[in-house]
Amino acid sequence: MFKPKIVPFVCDWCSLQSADFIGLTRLFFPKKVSFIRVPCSGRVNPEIVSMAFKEGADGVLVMGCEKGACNYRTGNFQAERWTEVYRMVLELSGLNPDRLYLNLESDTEIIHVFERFYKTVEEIGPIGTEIGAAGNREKIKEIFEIIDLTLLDEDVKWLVGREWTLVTVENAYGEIYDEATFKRILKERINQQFLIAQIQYLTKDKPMSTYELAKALGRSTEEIFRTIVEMERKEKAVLVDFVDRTPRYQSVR
Amino acid sequence: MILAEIDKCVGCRSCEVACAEKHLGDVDLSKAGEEALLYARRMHVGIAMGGTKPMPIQCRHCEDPTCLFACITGAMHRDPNTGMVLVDEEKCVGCWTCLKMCSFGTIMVDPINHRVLKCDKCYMERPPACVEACPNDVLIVEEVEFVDHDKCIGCGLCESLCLRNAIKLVDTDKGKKSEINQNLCKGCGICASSCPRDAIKMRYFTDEKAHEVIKKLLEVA
Repeated sequence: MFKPKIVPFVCDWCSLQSADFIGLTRLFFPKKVSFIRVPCSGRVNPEIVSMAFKEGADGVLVMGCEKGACNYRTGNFQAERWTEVYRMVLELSGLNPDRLYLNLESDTEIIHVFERFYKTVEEIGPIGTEIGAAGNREKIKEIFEIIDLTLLDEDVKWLVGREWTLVTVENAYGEIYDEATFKRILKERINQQFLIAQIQYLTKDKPMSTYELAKALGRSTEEIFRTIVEMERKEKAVLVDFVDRTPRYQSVR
Repeated sequence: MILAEIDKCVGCRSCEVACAEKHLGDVDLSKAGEEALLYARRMHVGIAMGGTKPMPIQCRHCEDPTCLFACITGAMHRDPNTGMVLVDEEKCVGCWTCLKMCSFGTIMVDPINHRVLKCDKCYMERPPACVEACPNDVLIVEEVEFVDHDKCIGCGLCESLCLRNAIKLVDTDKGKKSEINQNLCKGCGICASSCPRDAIKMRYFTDEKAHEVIKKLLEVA
């Protein structure tokens, strides 16, 4: 019988207090639950979520305060943005996005939320089942390293953090984006960054040509070439040598 | 934030003397006598209720200060730039309402000029006089979050995310850098989690600590 390993992060102010309350009132408290306390749900960034998945977690649950009730005012909104983006990238890498769940509702039912999430992950199966790599630690680590390269990029972090300023206040040119436009821009940027991260990961030790990369990633050569030009401009890749007049590229750390 | 590790305190009251000396200005404390110590110090060493050990007691600069709401003349106010709770000595009439309202007993009485005194953190000087004077390192200045100025590029993302206005961009020799006001910072870590350059670090909930905790949790599960 598969028993999912779940890492639940609870915010110090609402969720942890309600978990405490369950103990105080001597309600049923399942043995499989142990929480990690964080100062605010906004502190749980992709780096920490990836850490949990890399260590072998099957699901990550983040619990925060209700919207508008954050002790730090906007922490849970920041958590919402990060989770949304992380789920997007999980889907891109072939994993089920439901492995990460953010709960910002009704804190009094914290155990029910946990039980529901536990059941969901139980149905999905151990991590890597979707791509036929269950139990293959190396492969899973590789996937999450690519996710890290995607989301811990400077531009992506900046774009995600700036969302509310760009949507509600204005950008440097005095323009305001509506939410749909911003979501489209973010999605495009993440798709592009995901490809960059994949290329970065593949070429980190050995140089590869455009043709080899296209074959390995299942994309068209034209798309790969355009991405490499982009990477060269941002000083993330360099031309190393020529083999039979074919240029080979390597990523820069 | 000024923290006190009360286990180490021996009650020597060096902090009190240093505080009085600092706020007397040019007057020499040794010549002014013991009375000067009484009307110039802004913190004191005492025994907390129910305890047996002495400990330094000074203003916490509360987020929701009772003294500020109790003040009848508006002398007690929050400084908008530093976030500290200060008293305007010109306006104070010495009604002692704030004295009764303070939950920690941190407000001092100046019997000669008939007004109240309270900690002003030596006007954000670093380190304050009491911290500098403490021989046993009981008093320490603690930063919950801090900025690595070598890594900071001054993009202003943290400034826009912090709705407590604790982060400000300041001009330095190397261009614009963000700086955290420790009085207003509550240590939520939103800036640390979203800094594009990893320039902001937390003192307690670091990434390494998180890794350690996750590892332990998964070992048990």
